[in-house]
Amino acid sequence: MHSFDYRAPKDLEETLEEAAHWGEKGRLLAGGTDLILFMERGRLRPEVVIEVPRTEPFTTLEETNGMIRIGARVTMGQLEHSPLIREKLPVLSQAAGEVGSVQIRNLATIGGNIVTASPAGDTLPALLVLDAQLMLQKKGSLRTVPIDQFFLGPGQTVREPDEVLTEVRVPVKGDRFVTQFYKLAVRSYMDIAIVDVAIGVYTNGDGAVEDARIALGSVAPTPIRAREAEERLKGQVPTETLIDEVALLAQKASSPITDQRGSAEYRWLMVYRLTKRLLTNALLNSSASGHR
Amino acid sequence: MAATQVRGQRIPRLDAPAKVTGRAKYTYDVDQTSDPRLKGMLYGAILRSRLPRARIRRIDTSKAEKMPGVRAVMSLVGEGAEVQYAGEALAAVAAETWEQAKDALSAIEVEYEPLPFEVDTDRAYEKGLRSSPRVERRGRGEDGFDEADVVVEATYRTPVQIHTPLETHGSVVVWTGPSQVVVYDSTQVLFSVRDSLARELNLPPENVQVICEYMGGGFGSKLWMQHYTPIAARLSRKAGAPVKLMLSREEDFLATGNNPDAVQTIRIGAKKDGTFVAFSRRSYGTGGVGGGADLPAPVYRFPHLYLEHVDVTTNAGPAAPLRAPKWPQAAFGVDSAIDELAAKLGMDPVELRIKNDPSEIRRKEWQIGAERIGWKEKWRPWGSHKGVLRRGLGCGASAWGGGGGPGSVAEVEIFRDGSVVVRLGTQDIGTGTKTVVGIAAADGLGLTPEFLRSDQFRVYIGDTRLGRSGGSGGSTTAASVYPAVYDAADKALARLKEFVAKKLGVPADRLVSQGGRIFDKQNPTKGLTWGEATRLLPTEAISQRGEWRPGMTGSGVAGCQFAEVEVDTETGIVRVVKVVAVHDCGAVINRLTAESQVIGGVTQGISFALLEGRLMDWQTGLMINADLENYKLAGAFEVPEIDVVLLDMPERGVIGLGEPPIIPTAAAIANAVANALGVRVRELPITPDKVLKALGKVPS
Repeated sequence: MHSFDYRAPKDLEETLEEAAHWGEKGRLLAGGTDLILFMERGRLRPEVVIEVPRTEPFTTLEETNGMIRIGARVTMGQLEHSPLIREKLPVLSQAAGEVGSVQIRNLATIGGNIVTASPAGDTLPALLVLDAQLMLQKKGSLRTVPIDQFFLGPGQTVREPDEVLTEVRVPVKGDRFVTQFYKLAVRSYMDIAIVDVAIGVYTNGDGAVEDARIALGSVAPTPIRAREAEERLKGQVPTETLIDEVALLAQKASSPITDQRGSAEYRWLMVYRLTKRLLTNALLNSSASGHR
Repeated sequence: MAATQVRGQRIPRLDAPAKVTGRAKYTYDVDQTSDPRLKGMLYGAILRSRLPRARIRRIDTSKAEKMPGVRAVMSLVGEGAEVQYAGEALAAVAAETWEQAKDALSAIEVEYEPLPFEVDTDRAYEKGLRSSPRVERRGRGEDGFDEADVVVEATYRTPVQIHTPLETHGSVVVWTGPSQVVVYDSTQVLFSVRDSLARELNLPPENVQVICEYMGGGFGSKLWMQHYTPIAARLSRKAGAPVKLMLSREEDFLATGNNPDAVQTIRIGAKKDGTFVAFSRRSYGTGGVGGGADLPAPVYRFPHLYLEHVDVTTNAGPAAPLRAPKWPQAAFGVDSAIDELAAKLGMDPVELRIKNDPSEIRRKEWQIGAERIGWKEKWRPWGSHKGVLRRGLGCGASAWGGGGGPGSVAEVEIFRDGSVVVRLGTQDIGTGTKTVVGIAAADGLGLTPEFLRSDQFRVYIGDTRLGRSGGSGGSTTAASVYPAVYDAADKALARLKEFVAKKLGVPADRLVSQGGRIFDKQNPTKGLTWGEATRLLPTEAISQRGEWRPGMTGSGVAGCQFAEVEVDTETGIVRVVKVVAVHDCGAVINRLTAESQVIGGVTQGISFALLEGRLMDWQTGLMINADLENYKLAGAFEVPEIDVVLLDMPERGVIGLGEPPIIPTAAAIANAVANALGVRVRELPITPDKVLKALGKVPS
């Protein structure tokens, strides 16, 4: 690995100072499970690594006024095990629990997973389904970016070099919002997704779908929402035929490539089948099928 | 060779506490805290070709030599030399830190003249980059098919597999005098490394000491001295300081060996009643720039046999033997074809195998395995499974040599205070050899498992200053070292008995050592405890050397495995539910580590069946997945319930077991998947997309 300088700001203010000072020469470290690998492989060569401190708001994990606040340094392990997340955002807990290994989850953070912006980042489809809001702060200003407007391409986001992702805010949608997540990988542990699918559906008392989210990972340059598919579902009472149609629309939203993990054709088919499987499980309440 | 108080029992590894507490120092770990001679140790690193084939026009190390911390730089190839694969060594440096060494590598200027290359086996075959066919014929060869009523034919493919030991390859070298060198090496073959390095450095072999007390696995690619050892020795001499040269995982993938791929077109002819008549196989595969991709003959009885093999040359690193070299590939082909034949004949595949298996032991094993997996209750014909999740059963056969032989010189020392020291220059590649050596000594001395695990009992291996021993390859270690250690222990005990005989007034040949006592077999109450006996020694210690003696070992083992799998037909994901592994290894020395060998073999077999495979980019000539993120190995969650059945046949003597358990696993899994689906995936690894292709759900 190349030589670099390391900064350890004590709090938010100092972090913003460092980020402003170093700009593009600096890289924020919030766990380092991706960053250090990228540096070892020479893919990133920052002059300075700025470690995000383990202090508020980076470590926040709480519910206030119907909003769950998750600090950027909250680890995958915390998301996996936190009673709050397990109860209120089970889809995020599950997705976080499927990242890497126990050791990686003890170190890797939600902020890192988001800012790394891998198309295969496991928590990202879950966060898309949950309408997460990202708080981007820099010296003297703060903006909120909905997660579906954050990603531009593999490793590319709307974040400016001097901006720091401080926390993620997720609105709590209540019991009628049913979510599902499926990570497809050849190995059941310590593997990168071939396809990630997350869904969220909000049904009213008559069984009609009021609102829906379908998010896909590893099948496009960024994690995506299948908006046409979501729209098709809204206002409808779900049937097998409808779910099939919706799954085909989700497939249409994807643009997978062939790589060493799977062929484009295979991924394409999996988007359809997994979307269908998850929607069927959530809406038709049939006995769950399939395994990982 | 019947079981005794220590032999055939479940003895935990003697070095388990050292390993789990981190006290055990592997080659990767050694430094001046473990060996003061390593003070001032430098870090070595090797610059490797980035191109699959090129002429080296110029190689300039002058900038690297001036870099901070750099203490030695060596060019390994001359200008004008041709490199033949990406990863071939070009130059080496030693520096004070690993980072400085890596920086120095990037300062070495290499001017390449790219040359045409080929890394794809099929393309290379088409281009004629291949050997002339090697043919083996038995009976009437292919003409024998005219006796068959039914013939099946299919082509099976297996990928290049990489050894991936947990500890990457490497050496740590220190010169302790102008012509004295000590080498820590992660090796399966201490004495061969010693002798090879002595030749390379023009030193008498006794001036070279090779140490490997603990090693993080070797599956065949550590079976001779590799290039990095003399490089480390030369860097060390040049720099005048110890050098640690451990390869990175990527270097391990590219330049330390691999298991050749295979494309086998197999034909089997049989009578209507299932009697095998003829077998033919035309195969090709690549051992990279080396050869060695040929496959062994099937283990079943075929009166007529025709084998034809062609080695293909590609611009990839040379092959190396990998745990039962080429046998799992061959078994995958043969046992897959047999199941295809069974389907065509409408026969039960287990019955078909028993009918054509020449091995009496394995015929028994098929029955044991079938019973343990529940074959009769669970097996249903191909194509009869329905639903999204489908389960299937399959099986495969294994055979191996595993005999041992002379070449080990063991020493057993008995001290007056009762303690026992055992010494032998063998190595423990993770199989539990140290414990096996201990059991052999305790067995020969009549000591108890408690004594074996006490402070009074010490076993030293892994050092060429100890008595000579052979390499650990071919599953020969146990059957080679056990008799030598037993012989030394037996002789040492005989000397101790002389003193006991005098004391008790009983002839020495009437004395028996058992359970920690030496007593008169005609009057068992007349005897001494081990401690009382050793206190009779007139000197501090007695010591005896032992060598391999005949009569304690055998060779030639049989085995079979059954797999149950569950396939998700929507995603193509295959989950192995259970494996039953039935193996014979003659007399079991340590049931615990013997079972571990089987579990390890099955695990590696699952990995080969479902996950592993080198991917080469034919356009750039580079390996795409030279890391453990993209080259996938089975992890703990891929390991199913493994039911290990070891046939206990003490009358056959000690026989090795390291390799045979990997042979049938992939075949059994492939057959189970085909049974579940009603269609067959004829190419390993059986990945989800291949499953869906076989089901016709994804275009091929």
